[in-house]
Amino acid sequence: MTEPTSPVLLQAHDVTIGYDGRDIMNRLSIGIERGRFTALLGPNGCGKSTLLRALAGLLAPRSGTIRLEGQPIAQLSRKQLARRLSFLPQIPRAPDDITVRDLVEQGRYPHRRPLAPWSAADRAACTEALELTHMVALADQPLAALSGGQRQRAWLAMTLAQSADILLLDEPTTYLDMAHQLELLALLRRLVDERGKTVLAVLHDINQAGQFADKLALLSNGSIAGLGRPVDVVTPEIIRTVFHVDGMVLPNPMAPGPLFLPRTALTIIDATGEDATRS
Amino acid sequence: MPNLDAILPGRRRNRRALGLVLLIALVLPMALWALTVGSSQIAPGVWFDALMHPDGSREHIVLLDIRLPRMLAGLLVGAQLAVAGAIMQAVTANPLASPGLLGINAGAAFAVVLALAFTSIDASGSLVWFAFGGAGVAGGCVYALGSIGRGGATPLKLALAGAVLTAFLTSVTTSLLLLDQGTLDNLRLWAAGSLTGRSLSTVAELAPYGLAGLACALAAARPIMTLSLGGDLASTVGQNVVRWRLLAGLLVVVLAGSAVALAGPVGFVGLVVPHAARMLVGADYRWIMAYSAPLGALLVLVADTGIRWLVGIDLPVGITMALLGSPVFIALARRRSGMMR
Repeated sequence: MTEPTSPVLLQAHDVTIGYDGRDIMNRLSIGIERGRFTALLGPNGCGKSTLLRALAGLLAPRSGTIRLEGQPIAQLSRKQLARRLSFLPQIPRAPDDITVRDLVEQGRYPHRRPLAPWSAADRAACTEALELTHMVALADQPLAALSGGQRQRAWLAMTLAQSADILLLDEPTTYLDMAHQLELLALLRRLVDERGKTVLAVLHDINQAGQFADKLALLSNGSIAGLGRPVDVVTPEIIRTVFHVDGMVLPNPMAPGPLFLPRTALTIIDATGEDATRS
Repeated sequence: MPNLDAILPGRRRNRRALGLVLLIALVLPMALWALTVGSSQIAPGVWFDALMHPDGSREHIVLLDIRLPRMLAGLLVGAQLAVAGAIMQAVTANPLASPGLLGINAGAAFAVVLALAFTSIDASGSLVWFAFGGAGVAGGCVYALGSIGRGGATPLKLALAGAVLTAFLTSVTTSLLLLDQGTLDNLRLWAAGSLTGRSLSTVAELAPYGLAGLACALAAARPIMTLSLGGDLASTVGQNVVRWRLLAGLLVVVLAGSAVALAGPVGFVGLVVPHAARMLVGADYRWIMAYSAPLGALLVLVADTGIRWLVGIDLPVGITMALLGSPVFIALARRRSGMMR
């Protein structure tokens, strides 16, 4: 069996991140491979969003560095970084009455000079982003008039209009129904396969992640508990350690990945007596 | 603004552009009308003579020294405060942000009165720098006060901090004016927000700041639009958020500060006009700012002139605006109360 590895594009090296004097993660290192779909999973409050925000350059680590192709991202301007890397927050907010098209055009910000006119490249990128997300027909609707799934696609279109190689997505499927979840994951898969994008997405459903992603990164209490192909990472032992869930792993009869069948939650009260499911 | 929305469907863009042209075209007849309203009847044709061949007659002096500067000041102050309000609403994502509510006008007025009371400076061109300083310090204080505690600068906390600082600064300003026996009536009127008694030279001294501020604001409309997405998203699409927030703040200080130096703290223009513009053009701050300038100019001009025309009383425009604006403010606060928490 060949190991489908690819050079590391985005890397967190020995990073310690914390808010208000409390460390969320301590000396964590992880490398995101180029041209792969990596899913980041872990229980609530384990630091997934924090890690993603740090990788997106929105949160400066207390120590350690985030590197993009070896270069510390702290050395890049916001604009330089935005041309290479785009990030979609978990619950993005914008003025309700903004139209999809106006929102998507905002994705062109890093490619435009002050006062420069709208270019053919800008137009092409926006049109393509709207087409990929099937939002062309809804382009002139205000965001507030859209359903949850449509809104998520509008946000994704803005992210795509940025034309960056790397997409970081924080729980892009959380508020979608099953059909829209699968549709979005299939789109991410296509972006990786056909456009050579590098995708890192926080997901909750380990079976969906195993079906669509090339690599899984499991995060537990601020450290990496597993990183590798789904078949290597989805084992009863690792799932028990990370999610405190007992169950068994079966081969997926429909797709190459593994399938985890949960039996019971072991406990949700951690050693400090706090509810470990807090978000 | 060429090519801004090149991929927009033409119809919507054309409609917005047409509306903007109509609004700007409306300013001229309203301005001429304002010249005809006053305690003495002056035939509408006389203003042309007065401008082209001033002969020193009483009518010409009234037109050139009293009504013309008052009209110009109204247009400038209205446009500046409205655009300042639009910038603030975009940058803070706060529907209740405006130079009046967030203490900026009160800070500028306080600094000007302080300078008049304790220094010998009385030239508008120098006082405007005190107005800038006061506006900047007050705005910074409100932002700092409103950012304390959980959740950062929420709309409600900002509005409260602004109300507290405005109340405090306004009472100190009023005390200074009342205690100082030498204060001219003109200055007391000014402190209530008034266009009365501006000389043409005062307007000429302050107009460059306001016009420069308006031009820069419209030139920066695109990054200001991006700021309205909020800090996280603006950063991820590549905006240097700290730098642009500071620049936007500087624009607000120049626009509101020079407006206050000219006409005192006129409230509600900066709150109401951007909302009216938003109802007309939607959430796009590039258009909201472009519409706010003529809408604000028209509102202040009509409020100042209309009250004299209707009831014949020369009420300071700050008071007229408060009478008009309070109900609108309450309606906005009630409608948006869900967003304020």
